[in-house]
Order: sequence, then structure tokens, then C-alpha cells
Amino acid sequence: MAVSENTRTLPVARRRVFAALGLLAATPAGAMAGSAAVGAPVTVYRPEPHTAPGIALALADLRAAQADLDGIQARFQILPDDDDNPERVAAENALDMATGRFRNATLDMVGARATTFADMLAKAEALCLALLDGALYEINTPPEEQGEAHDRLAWSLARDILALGHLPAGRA
Amino acid sequence: MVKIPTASPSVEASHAIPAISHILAELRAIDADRLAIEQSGHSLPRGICPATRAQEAALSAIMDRFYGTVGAMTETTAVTFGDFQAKAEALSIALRLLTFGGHDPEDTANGTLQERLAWSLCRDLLGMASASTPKGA
Repeated sequence: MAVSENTRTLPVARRRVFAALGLLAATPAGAMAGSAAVGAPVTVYRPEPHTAPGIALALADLRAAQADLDGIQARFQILPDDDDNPERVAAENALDMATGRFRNATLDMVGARATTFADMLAKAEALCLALLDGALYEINTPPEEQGEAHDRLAWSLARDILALGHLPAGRA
Repeated sequence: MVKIPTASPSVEASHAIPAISHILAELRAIDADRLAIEQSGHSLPRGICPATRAQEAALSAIMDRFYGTVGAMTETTAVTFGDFQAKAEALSIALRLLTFGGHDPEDTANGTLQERLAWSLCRDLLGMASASTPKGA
């Protein structure tokens, strides 16, 4: 099992969105990586201590799965367009696995119940990630201008919660 | 003769910033109107008739109002917990109308993952509000 350090591998557009929200500062600096049966590195983030255990674990897994998805998608861009290429097959397997992990972590978050503001922050970040991945993600178009009415309102709520969570103490 | 309800008066809550409070009140009124129009349709005869056309036109006008109001809420910035609650209520109304309809939002078979997570966040935000309200308030 190969183990390596892995910090953020967000693509530029996503990095800009999250930097605007102040989210990158909240990302755990120390990240560990393992390897999957398919041979692709699997990122593991340590849960942050300030949220409820179920939510903390789900958020850490969600961030890690997202980092893997971004890394795998970057790999696809340099692989030849050949379905028989073993590297491509491995990347597709890794993509399926990371997608499943992302979905499971999001499902865990759906089932978790937030009872503190820190929990709300975690859930809002999860919602931002889910919206960017599913309903809203389109490069160079602000999320406020994408998706259906309820998607845009969901983004707007999550954005405001995250922004308040990153204000200096005393401002909220 | 089926009477199509006219616009309900909006009642603003005092806990949120003015724009959010006003928009939420409007959304609640729209939701009440939509429900009344749908219920009035239950007593309509089957098939196309002036009354069903009037109901369809009223529902269409309601939904135009609804989309405009949701859009206005999207453009606001919540800065207090009361604002978050107001926005969460607006989102839960939007999700109920646009996504879940008469279905159970907690049921894993309904809605996309993003929609269910949004619903879950709203539920928790609104739940925190009721949990922190003193009994009898």
C-alpha cells in the first residue's frame, strides 16, 4: 500500500470559488493518502474536531473523495483516447470508486443531523461541493447564475453560512 | 362557479433583515395562494372549460411570481441566524414545490442527492430554531 501526502488538487475554477468563500483556509493541512485496489491513490483527510462525529467524518471523506475526483479527472486529460489502454481502464475504475465514495459521503451527510453552527458549516460545505459537482458546476459562470431556482437558492444559503463562519470573531 | 383566490396578504416576520423578511413573507403568501388554487381545482368538472382554464392561468401566474420571488431571495445575503432561518424556510418551500411535490423528502427515492442534502440542511436550520424557542413562546 503506497502512502503519500496529498493536499488540495482542486482545478483552478473550483479553487477560485472556494477561495472566495474562504474554504481553503478550513481545509486540513495534514492529509494522508493510501492506495486503492485499482492502483490509484486514495486521499484520506483527518476529521476536524469541532463538528459532530458523523458530520465530521462525512465531511472529511467528502473532501478527500473530491480531491481524488479532481486528480483522476486531471489524469484523464493527458491519457490517450484508447479504451484498451490499461492506464485509462485503471483511471476509469478509480473514477467509479471515487464517485461512489463521494456519493456515499454525501448520503451520510444527508442522514446526519446538524445541531451546532459548526455542524451547519460542515453541511453547508458539503452542499456547496455537491452542487458544484452536480447541478451547478460550469467553468467561468458564477454558481448564482446557474441551475434551477432551488439550486441557486441552495447555493446562496450555503455560501452565506460559509461566509459567516469565516468572518473574524466578533463580526458575526 | 369556482372562485379563484386572489393574492394573500403577506405578513413579515421581524427576526430577519428587511429584504429577506419581506421576500419570505411574499413566498409564504404565494405558497398559500397556490395551495388554495389547487384545492379549488378539486371541485372543477373534468375536461376543458372556462373554469379549468382560469385555474391554469392562475397557477401559471402564481408560478411566475414564485420564480421571481425565489430569484430575489437568491440575491440576498444572510448575515444573522434569523436570516439563515428565513432563507432555509424559503428554500424548503422551493424544494417542496419544485422537487418533492407530495413526496416525502426524507425518502431516498425522491430528488437528487443535492436536493436532498439541501432539504436536510434546511430541516436542521429550522429545527435549531424551534429547539431554541422557549416553550410557550
